[in-house]
Amino acid sequence: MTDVSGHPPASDQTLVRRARDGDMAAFEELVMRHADRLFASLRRFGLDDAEAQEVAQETFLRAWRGLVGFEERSSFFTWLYRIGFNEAQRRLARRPAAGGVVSSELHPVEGIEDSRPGPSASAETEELRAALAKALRELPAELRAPVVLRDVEGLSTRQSAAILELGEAAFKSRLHRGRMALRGLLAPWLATS
Amino acid sequence: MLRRAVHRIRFGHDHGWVPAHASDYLDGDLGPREIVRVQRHVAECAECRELVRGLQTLLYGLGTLRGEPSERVAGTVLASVRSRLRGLPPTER
Ligand SMILES: [Zn+2]
Repeated sequence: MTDVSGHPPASDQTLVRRARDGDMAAFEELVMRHADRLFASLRRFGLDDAEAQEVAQETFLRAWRGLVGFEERSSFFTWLYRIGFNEAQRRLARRPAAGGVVSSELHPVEGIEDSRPGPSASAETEELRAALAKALRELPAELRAPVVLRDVEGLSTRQSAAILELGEAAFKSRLHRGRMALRGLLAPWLATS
Repeated sequence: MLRRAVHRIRFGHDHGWVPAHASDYLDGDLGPREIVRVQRHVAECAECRELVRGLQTLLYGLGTLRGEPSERVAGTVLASVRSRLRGLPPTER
């Protein structure tokens, strides 16, 4: 990929270094590059549109302020997501309904009100998707985060664990628990026989 | 007789082990011997077969959520960040 000038786009690392030296345009480029995806991930993590947008803004503001301390041991992307997901978790924990739910209190997903068949996916896939989105919202945040990062966003175990500040073994264990809980919620959808 | 008993014991162990390692199996995090252990067990255990297939379908479904269209907010986020950073020093040192 090249930009309008014909040069290949600068790497995140280059932009981070420029931004750290006070180059606002470089930082703005990082915002444009990552904001949509971060917003989408925050939505899937359970924030509504307005919250996800607020958290995304807050994340970039904090990133700007923290650039000096950013040690580049992780990628900018991982660091950004860590800030964003931390803030999202704080907000979800403040919600009255969230936080105290344990797996045994989860209710199986049955009726889905908002299933709209899309042009590309089959109706069945569309229904499964709607059921999945609903079931995800039922999971406690500490199990939902690993599933969203690893299985929905498609990040590696290593990246996802780094974002959530967990060791890989602890991350995998939560991921597995999250998947098993989802499987329980979606039993009617996942039965093969 | 003995063979049968050994088989039953092994089956019991694997029946506990496979569900705990189903994610590792699907994520490609198991070694060759462990992969064989999973495959051997699911070939003879309907319950674990169902579990692994169910998780497989689940992972497929979760992956499709990624492709769902999402609002483009980068411009709005940028405008807000810009307005809040205006007048601030480059970084608060
Ligand atoms: Zn079994």
